[in-house]
Amino acid sequence: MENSLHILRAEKRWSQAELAEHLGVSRQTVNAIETGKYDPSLPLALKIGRLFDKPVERIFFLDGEMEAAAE
Amino acid sequence: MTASKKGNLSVSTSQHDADVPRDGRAELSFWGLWFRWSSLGPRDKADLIGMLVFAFAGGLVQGLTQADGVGWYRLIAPGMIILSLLLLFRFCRRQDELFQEIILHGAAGVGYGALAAVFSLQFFDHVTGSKSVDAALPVILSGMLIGSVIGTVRAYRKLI
Repeated sequence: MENSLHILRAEKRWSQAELAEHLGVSRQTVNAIETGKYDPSLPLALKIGRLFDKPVERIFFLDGEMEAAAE
Repeated sequence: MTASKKGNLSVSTSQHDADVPRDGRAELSFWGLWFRWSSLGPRDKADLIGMLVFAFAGGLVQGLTQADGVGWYRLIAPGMIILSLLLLFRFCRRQDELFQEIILHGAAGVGYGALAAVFSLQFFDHVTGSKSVDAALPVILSGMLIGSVIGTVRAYRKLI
């Protein structure tokens, strides 16, 4: 799965540690999600969506669908 | 401009908050075999120190009482080990989902390691025709340890 978390985080000018603080997870978890190594659970994905005020499907994409969504 | 200043102030405050170690935000280090101490909150540190103290004391008592006969004090060492494991369990339950997933892989490794050790012992007994009952516990414990390390390191390298 791909995601636009790092872009949304950059828009807010937050560091990974700050985003982790908002989500109640460790900085390693935020990094693992951003790099696509770890797919978050549904509760955490929903929390991310609420934090950035976006639906989950606008943040997380199936492989290959992120570029199509950007266009 | 004001909004920008407000934004910066907000981020600055948040940065300060993010720098304060909190319970349940433990980060792994050394390929997942230890924890980044600076990321641990007060309760996390207390649980880990308690776990280490009980594990060390349990091992020490077990070693000192091993030569003695049967007695009530033989229960002290297993009791301390159980307390140590309970503290580790409480520590892990407090952590976030990625941490728990890596620990889960380590726990699965413990099971695989124990199974591999039992099968190895059975195979050894079958081939040599001997009974390796005396060596069973150390071999199984070693298998569990090796399995745990392999499971944890593999998960760490995959996920972090």
